[in-house]
Amino acid sequence: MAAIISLGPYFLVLLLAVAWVLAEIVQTFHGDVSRALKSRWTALFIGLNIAFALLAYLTVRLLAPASTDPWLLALVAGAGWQALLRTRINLLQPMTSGEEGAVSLSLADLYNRFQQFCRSQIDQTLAGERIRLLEQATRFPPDALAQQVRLFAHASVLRSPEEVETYMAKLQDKPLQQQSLLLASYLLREGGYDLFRERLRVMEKNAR
Amino acid sequence: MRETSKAPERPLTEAAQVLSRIAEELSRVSTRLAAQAEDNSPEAELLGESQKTLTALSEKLGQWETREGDTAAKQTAQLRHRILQDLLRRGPALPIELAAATLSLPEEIQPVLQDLAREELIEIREVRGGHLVALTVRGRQEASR
Repeated sequence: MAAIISLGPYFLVLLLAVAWVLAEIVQTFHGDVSRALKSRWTALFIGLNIAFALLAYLTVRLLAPASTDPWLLALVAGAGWQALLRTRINLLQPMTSGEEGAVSLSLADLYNRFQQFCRSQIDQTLAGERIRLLEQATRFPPDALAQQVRLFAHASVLRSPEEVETYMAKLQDKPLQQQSLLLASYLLREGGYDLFRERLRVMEKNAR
Repeated sequence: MRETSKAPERPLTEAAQVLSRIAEELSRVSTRLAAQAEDNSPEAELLGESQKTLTALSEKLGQWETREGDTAAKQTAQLRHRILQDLLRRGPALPIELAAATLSLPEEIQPVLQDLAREELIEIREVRGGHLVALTVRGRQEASR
């Protein structure tokens, strides 16, 4: 019990860091959150955020008077650190006009670069998986995929089945490979990665 | 991104433009010939008639061309809107996915994507095996309107 109470503030800092990063990931990859969360780059992003948040908390705890409530410190350090990461702070501002010569603590720039790096790596992973799934789908003839597209079209509120039929008629002039690719892309975008992968599995099973 | 082929995007509109130019030119020629012909001669009357017909044809083609232009502009605006909405709703996409989701062909959305990128409403990032299209902050604001 004593251990839980003493470790509690650390968990609070950890929770704050995870919540903050998760909010950013959900906002960025809202179309593919579950796969984005499974990426090792997301793990690195969350892990480093937690590590630095805990480091900030430890620093504050060492500097603060011993009588300070550790829960309050955890709350201030946990939330404050996340805010600090996303803010540009000028430590010294010369008495001349303009920002030249200002000594800034630009954690925001560093954080932004790290965030962009992780985002581009996650993008690479997600896009790579989607490209592989499309390649897999183009092994099927357009007719088989068209059948799935019709099913999806009837379930969609965004496009009427007539619109989709007109589109499929327009594709008839295209080479078979391109027809399959576009139909597969429609299914992937409309149904999402997981549903489309599952449909492909069923189609493969039926084809055997 | 790959270059599109040089085939005309709207062949009928381009044909109308050419015909309109020919009609204007013929109209000018017949005006000149009518001026040279003797007054009240049957040839002068015929040339005058031809000149009127050609002027009317040129005007009609011009109107049709304008209508066609308006329709194409409307279709492009609709496609832009659909692309931005799709990216807002479902997040970054491969260009081929966007083409399929907007019920278009890759060659139809390519110039629209380039325009959107030029206006900084979308960013086109390179990924292994292709490109990834994503909304910029400006694009997100535009799509949310």
